[in-house]
Amino acid sequence: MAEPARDTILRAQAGDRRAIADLVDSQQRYVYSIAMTIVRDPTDAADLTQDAFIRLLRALGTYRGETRFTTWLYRLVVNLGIDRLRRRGAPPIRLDDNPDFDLTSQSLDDDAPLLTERAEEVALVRAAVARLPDAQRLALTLHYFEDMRYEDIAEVMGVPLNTVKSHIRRGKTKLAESLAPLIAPAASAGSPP
Amino acid sequence: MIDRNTAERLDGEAAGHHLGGAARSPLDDAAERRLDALVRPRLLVEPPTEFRTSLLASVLRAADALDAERPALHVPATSSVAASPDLSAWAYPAVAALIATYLAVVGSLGGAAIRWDWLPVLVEQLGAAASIVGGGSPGGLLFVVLQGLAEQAPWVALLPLLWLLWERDRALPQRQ
Repeated sequence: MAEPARDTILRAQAGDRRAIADLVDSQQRYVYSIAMTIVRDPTDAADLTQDAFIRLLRALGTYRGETRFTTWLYRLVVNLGIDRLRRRGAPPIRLDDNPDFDLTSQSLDDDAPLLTERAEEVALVRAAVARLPDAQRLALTLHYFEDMRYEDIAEVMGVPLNTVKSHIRRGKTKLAESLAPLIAPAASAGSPP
Repeated sequence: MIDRNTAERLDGEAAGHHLGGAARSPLDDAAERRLDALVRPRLLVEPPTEFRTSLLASVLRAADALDAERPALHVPATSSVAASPDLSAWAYPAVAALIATYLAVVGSLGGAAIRWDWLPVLVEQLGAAASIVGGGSPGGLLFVVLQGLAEQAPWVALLPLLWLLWERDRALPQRQ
């Protein structure tokens, strides 16, 4: 995750097209990833991403730098995504709950022979993440954006810090169970008997 | 990153938040590192190429539309006018009150027991000295004029402030 330079933000606030393009270029993959986490459909995620950047443009003048720019932007995306689901009458996404979702019955252990292909690894990882509860999925997605601190994730999701820690811990535990064949340590060939 | 998060995880577990039990044993550090290495690069979803192009075009069109709605958005930030705060409608009554107070204070001092008659004498002597040194230069004349103004209309000294406020106020409509 790359926090945009302060100068880029200031120039974008002044309407500089190149700076706006830089912001879009540097943030679109993160915004799209968050959108996919929330709406789970590529077309919807694209719409949400576009909507988020246009809203960003309109609200850019109000950004005063009190928080990280990325935290501010991702919070905007999350709120837009939740509003979008609500307008459609879709089941509401809950960010403050902590359901104990059992993944063991959906473990991917049986798919072990398929795990050698990188593309399949990607699919398996994303499928395992997709099966997590909403809050854990979003917290983990933000967590894996390199520089996203727990405090920033709490700010984006609007939940207490300990709730974020719990979401991430539980999410990782479930992922580890689902993806056990992929994260098992390599067998040491030369180990003594 | 991993070290900090691991520390936070351990901190959370120490606080009693961990999921104990055989079914959900906490991840050990090595397993967590392998999980992070596996998931991190695979979780970021790249938007389709055609969408990236159309997204940028849409955002730039929105920027144009926004400019049309708010043309003053592009006033350069380096402009001193743009950087100055808005002028309150109370500024002019405040300046008027300031001038009135100033005149009242000057008037009361003039009528008080304090003697100010040494001031014109000093000014005359300075003017005479200036004319001797400068040979009756325009500087001497300016000095006399300033002396007259200081005696007869001391409020003139506030005009630069009034002019400054006027200029700031005049610039306001250009920003709206």
